[in-house]
Amino acid sequence: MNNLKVSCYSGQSYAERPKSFIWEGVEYEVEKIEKEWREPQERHFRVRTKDNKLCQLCYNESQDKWSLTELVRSKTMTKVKEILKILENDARTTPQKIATMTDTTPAEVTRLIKKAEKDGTILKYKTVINWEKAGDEQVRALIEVRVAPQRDVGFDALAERIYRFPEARSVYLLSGTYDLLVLVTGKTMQEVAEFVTQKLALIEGVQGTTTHFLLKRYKEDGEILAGGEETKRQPVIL
Amino acid sequence: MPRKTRCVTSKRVSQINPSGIRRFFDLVASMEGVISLGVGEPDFATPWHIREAAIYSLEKGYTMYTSNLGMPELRQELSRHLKDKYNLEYDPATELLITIGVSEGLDLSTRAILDPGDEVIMADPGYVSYNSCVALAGGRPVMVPTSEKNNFELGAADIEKRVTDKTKAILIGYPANPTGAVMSRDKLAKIAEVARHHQLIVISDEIYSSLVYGMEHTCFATLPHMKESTILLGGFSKAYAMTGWRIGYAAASKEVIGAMFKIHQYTIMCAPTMGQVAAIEALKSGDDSVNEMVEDYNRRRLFMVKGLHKIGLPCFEPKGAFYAFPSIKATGLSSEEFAERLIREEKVAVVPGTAFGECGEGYIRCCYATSLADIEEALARMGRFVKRCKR
Repeated sequence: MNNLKVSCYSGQSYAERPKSFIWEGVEYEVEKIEKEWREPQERHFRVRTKDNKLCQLCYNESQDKWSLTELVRSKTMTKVKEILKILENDARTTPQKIATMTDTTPAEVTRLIKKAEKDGTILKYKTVINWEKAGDEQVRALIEVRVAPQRDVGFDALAERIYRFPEARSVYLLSGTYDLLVLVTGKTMQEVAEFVTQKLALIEGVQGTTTHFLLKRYKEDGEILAGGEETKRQPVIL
Repeated sequence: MPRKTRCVTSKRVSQINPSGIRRFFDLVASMEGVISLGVGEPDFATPWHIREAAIYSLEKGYTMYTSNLGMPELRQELSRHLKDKYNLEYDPATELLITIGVSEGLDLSTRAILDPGDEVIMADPGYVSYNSCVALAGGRPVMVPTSEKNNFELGAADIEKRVTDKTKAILIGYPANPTGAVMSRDKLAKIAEVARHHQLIVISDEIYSSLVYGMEHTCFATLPHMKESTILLGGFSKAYAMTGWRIGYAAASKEVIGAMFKIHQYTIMCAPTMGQVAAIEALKSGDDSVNEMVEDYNRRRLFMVKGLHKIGLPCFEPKGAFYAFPSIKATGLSSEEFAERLIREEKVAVVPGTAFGECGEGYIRCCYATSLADIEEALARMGRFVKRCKR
């Protein structure tokens, strides 16, 4: 059932200390044994691996069998995801509040957020702004770009030449009748058109573009812009 | 000679207390700027795919009566759902009935099984309809006091003590409204033993079955030998945020469903067609949207319970539904005084525990199915109020 191989340091008896193990084809080196204890017929080790996974290994002496339960990693994974979900919805939620909602400590929340920021899970904190409301009108266009992929680098090099332009707000590689989808913003239609005709279309390898000007935004990134629905509940219901 | 003036309304209805806190509700309704923790329904709108399915059905002209029992496809899906979820097998043709919410299910089941004077044992505090439905059906509710000390669980021994030769049924509702209590399988099994020993029917209202946090919901009918003697009542309102659609169901033996069906066909005909179509879509689409809502409720639950503790209103940990039931005894006020002064002075609406029975005195029900910002503001206002009271 479980595909586990453990190699361990055996001194006076077998399995005095696990050194590394292979679990489902992946080898993990044990960095530290956090805790070890005995139960009838069984020896238990809670170990931290080099890549910071916390696992529990159990050696059953009578059956001569190892088993593994992945402990804290899966738990912190969901905790991290829970924290990310809360932040995705409101980046200004304080660690104190998040801690209350996820049943942990503010220090732990801060640690996990720092970690996510460091490893690039959290890219940036932004504010969703309805610029039209602020009186600052923007022109947006979606531009389909057909390109000729290049040897060795495929589409990536061309995509980079495009996404380096600050006018290109989003750039995606797509399957289908064209290759790249570029979202461009500008102050006027003229400005956007100029970017397309004088910058984008002239890049070597770009074979053609089709520009679609955006007429109305209804929903963006999960947020309904055209006034969401308001549910009306009775104030008291038993 | 003219006849002596008679009471217009029946004795049976007159004996039912109108909700004693009607005045309080009117007060809430008349005020502006109130944050209400007094609601009893999700703050999510029904997931769009469910609404969309119903809209489509209207466009297609599904506007007629359905089978009295409910649409065959819905009963089929429901049967499959109960099999998947609890490994319970109910025959969609004879053992399932689609009702107008659990409310109708409660009414039908009490009317179907009770003769005048039959007793039904239930928990105090408990959902407001339980004792009234029993009384309207001619039965006599027998209340079992439950307390915070026992996590508002209905004790098997306490039930046993109240069993007489008139006892016909036990009515339970876990996860519970108003307390948020959930009972473990072991403890429910003890109630099952009492029921079996005295050959009692168990009416189990499991409308909040999907809303449990950190523990498993036990369907009463899954307990040993209990399927035959349990009337399982469930619905779509809370799990799928479909309160206004009014769709519930009853699952029980052929005999009991047959009796309930008789009343249903004469008084109701069938549950609303559009709602039934929506319910089919809800069952077919799996539990992803439900799970997401449960996760969201859980965050607010933790926030609410900790917040209540912080402002000096100790609260036992509710493991289900979307209610917290904190004690307000430290303020020296009665539940109704607390609720009325809180709404007048701080514009926060909560429901006094006494609305749910005598044992609710000293408690208030706070629903956390409301936005986090509102919960936060409500807690701040309540904190101020509690401070003033304790002074």
